[in-house]
Amino acid sequence: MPTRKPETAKPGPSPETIVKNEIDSALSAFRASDFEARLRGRIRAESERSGRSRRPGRRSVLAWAGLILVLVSGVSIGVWIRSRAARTGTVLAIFEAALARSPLFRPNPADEPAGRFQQTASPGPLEQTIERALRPLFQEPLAATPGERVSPAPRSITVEELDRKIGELIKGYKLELFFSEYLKKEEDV
Amino acid sequence: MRDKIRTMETSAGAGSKTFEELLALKETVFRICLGYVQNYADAEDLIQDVYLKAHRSLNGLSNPELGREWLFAIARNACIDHRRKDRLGRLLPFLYEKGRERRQDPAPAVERDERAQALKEAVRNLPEKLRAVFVLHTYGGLSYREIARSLKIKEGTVMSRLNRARTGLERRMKDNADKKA
Repeated sequence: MPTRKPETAKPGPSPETIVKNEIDSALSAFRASDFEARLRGRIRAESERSGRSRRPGRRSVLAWAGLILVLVSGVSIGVWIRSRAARTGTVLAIFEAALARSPLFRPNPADEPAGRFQQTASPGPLEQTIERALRPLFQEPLAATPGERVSPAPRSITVEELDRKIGELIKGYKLELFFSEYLKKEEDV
Repeated sequence: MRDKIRTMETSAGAGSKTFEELLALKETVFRICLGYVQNYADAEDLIQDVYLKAHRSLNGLSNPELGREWLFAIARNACIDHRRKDRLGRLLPFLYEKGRERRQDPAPAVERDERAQALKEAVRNLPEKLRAVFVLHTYGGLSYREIARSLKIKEGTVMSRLNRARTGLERRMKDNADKKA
């Protein structure tokens, strides 16, 4: 009785053999296909397309993109203005507000009435005192003492004389208190 | 002016001659594409794209003697792009499903073979460096020298990568068979 050999696993074909079989089968199908005819058709269509795109009057993709961008921007600005107008009243008011905010269109302060654009803070106690003290100078006729006319100081006047004259003016207008420190210093000297 | 026109005609003629020469390599290019995508229909589509790209950029080919390597490089890049799109298509099917139809592979006998399927899967999963060498050599039938020039690596590197690719493929196929058993 013949003894049966133990069954061993049959080694499969090597990767190279499998690849060769696959290539043979695929290549025969490829050879039968109309590869070249399709390719030439595509090349012809492509060259026709590129020829058409070179014709004058035909816009490039970039030009179309630019045109669409401008249109979209225009529509967005229009929508924004409409929405603002609905909130603030008129379209003109929007532009006025925008111009008022813009530093480019801010009016020249020199052309404006004083105080509108150059408003300072309210005067402090020292400024108020000075203003109060000097106010009579601009309201009453200039005089060293009440009733006495003051003649303008000549150019040749010395510093000491000018100092004395100013002292008299101060006394005449009862500004001793305000300039007391100054007068005291003068006396010390 | 006449000289200029003659030069243009000559260069156009030379370009067309070069393209015809490249067209003679269509079977090698097809085999390379098949090796990369492991699918007949995709390989057939890819080879069209490869030759269209080559036709478009034929003027950029400075040295016609390197036309072969240049064409193989285009094919390789097209296959890598296709693989990338395929992956993306799996993630975002709505982007790529439209207009894409799967044609029947004309190699049903090979398809049915489990070992062939396992090999396809293993080739797909090879690292890119090893896959490039394996596909160009085994599918494309390119010599070590041609592969080295096409991939801009040394011939010794081609040999070692090919060896690693074969070992890796056999191991993967064996693992696959063990899993099924």
